[in-house]
Amino acid sequence: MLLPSDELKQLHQKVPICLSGRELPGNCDIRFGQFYYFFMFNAEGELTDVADMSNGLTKRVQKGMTLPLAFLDMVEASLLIETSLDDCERAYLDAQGSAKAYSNLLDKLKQLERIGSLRVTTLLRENADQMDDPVRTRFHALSIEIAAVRRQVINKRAIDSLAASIETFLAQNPDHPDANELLNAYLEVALKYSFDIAGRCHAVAQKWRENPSGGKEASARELADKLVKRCDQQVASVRGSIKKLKSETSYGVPRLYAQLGDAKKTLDLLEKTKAFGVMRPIRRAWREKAEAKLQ
Amino acid sequence: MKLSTMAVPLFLLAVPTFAQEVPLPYAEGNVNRFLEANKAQKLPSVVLYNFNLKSG
Repeated sequence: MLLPSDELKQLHQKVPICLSGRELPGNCDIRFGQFYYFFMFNAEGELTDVADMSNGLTKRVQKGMTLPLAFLDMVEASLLIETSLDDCERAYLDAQGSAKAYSNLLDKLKQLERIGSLRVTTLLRENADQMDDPVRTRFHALSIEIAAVRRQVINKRAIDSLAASIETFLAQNPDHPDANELLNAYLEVALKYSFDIAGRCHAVAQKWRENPSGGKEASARELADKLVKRCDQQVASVRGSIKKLKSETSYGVPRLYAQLGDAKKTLDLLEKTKAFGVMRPIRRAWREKAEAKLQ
Repeated sequence: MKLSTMAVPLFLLAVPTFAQEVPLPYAEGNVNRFLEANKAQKLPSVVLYNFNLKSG
């Protein structure tokens, strides 16, 4: 497909193409395992489209196109998309974080398969204090971060960062109307790969009780109780999953014991199970914490 | 040795050299510099992530 055909040479004059290897463009984030992605930037250098190359090409080849023509067609179709992610970011800031601008931003991120979510999160947080409702903008940023980590980004740094983001947001806004949903995301997404989730939740709850945000003592205490209760449910769910296991050496099992904080079993299973690229830093952290706990 | 028989190995040697010098219709790596250059020329750009000539 990428042989220097006449069509490709002509296209390259009009729309230059770069084979980036593993270098990500446009300050984007991408999930481990998302191979062969196509990024389109407009003449202003702003990201307008992202597409899975395999899906885009297969769909066109199945319609009868040759592979080189399918690629040209992908480029042509992508050139028709005028709105860039940068347009939506600017519109959000200009509209002071309005619901409509947020909705447009979300639609654009969905079109981009959420690639670029973390850059939007950073931008919103940096500008939250200048918006009409800073808490609302911080909540928008957090919601985008949760969706990205839940569906698209799998790396330890992003997951750890999400846990810290939720803890900070809830410490400052324990009375937020969506606090319960955030607790769910905290347990289901942010702590999914954590060692000893009960230990962490109890420590966080204690911190909220002892250092409540000014004037929010009652709601901070209430939220701390909810966190402990929600954590108990999660631990029960993990124990239920362990009971249903058919094999103790399957891929996902060390995570369950790590979540329970079972140091001996976690170390034992880390020896018996294979590590894959993206999981290595996560497994390294489990090992360190389990060894520390046993000492 | 005939001139024509001498030309065959010379031609064979020249083919890979020529092949290496054919300009490829795409850039490789250094995405930010690539995007900046196209922006300066008001051209749109396509970036193919995870794609390189060895793998893809």
